[in-house]
Amino acid sequence: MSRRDKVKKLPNKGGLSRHLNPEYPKTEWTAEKWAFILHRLTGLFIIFYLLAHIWVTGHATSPESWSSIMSTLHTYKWLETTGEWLLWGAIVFHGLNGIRLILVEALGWGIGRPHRPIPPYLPYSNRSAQRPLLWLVVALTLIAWIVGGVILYQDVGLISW
Amino acid sequence: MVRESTLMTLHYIAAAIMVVVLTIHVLMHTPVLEKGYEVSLEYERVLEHYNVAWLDLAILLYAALFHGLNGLRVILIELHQGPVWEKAVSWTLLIIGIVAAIYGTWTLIEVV
Repeated sequence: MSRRDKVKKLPNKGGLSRHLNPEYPKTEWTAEKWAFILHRLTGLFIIFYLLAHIWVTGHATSPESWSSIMSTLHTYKWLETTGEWLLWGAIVFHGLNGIRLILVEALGWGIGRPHRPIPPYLPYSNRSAQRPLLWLVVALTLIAWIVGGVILYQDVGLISW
Repeated sequence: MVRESTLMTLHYIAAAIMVVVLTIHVLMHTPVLEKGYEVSLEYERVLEHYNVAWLDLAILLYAALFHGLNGLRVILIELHQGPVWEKAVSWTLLIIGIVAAIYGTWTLIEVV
């Protein structure tokens, strides 16, 4: 039996457990796959931050509660600022990669039209405009993350040049 | 029940809105629109932010909650499938979203 027929016979089970199945078709570790994983991890980080942020900003109703929650947050200054710096990086990556996804996924820009796959061939999506766009996202993210980090750590007085 | 394609379209629309609204929100805590990050967290500055940018914050609150919780829902129903699981995930996240939206709206009304 060919590998293709074996795969066809598998029950259509998704979820993480599919990786335990040796017959499950493997996909390549492309740059887009890494971007997908990072997009989800940064998204998870941001949604849990958002819920905490709504709770913390709920203390803005009076000066006393505001200063008490601020002094609690400032207990471990290095930890707080490093968390904020990681959050900044997560938001910049998620936002810029999200703009790429709107262009590529939602609007279908830069992935070309379907065509007959005549081997040996490289998928159009791997040699079209969307790949350089991903490198642009990575470059802009790194620049914004580092520059923002220097500004942030200097502003809160943890580093000084 | 809302169709998945509708939710995904709204997911993209909320993302596009947040590009503008979240940029303004972040810039209000940087030297671009403020003296600096530490200064922007003083109580008087926070009150002024709420009064100047309450519309920005309101749009951000609803767009971010929808986008974030829908994203979490998509991740959770890709990890595991089944009618019970999918219903439980949807309802739990909907309740979390409504509670957070009400709390955020209450904060906005109280402060502004």
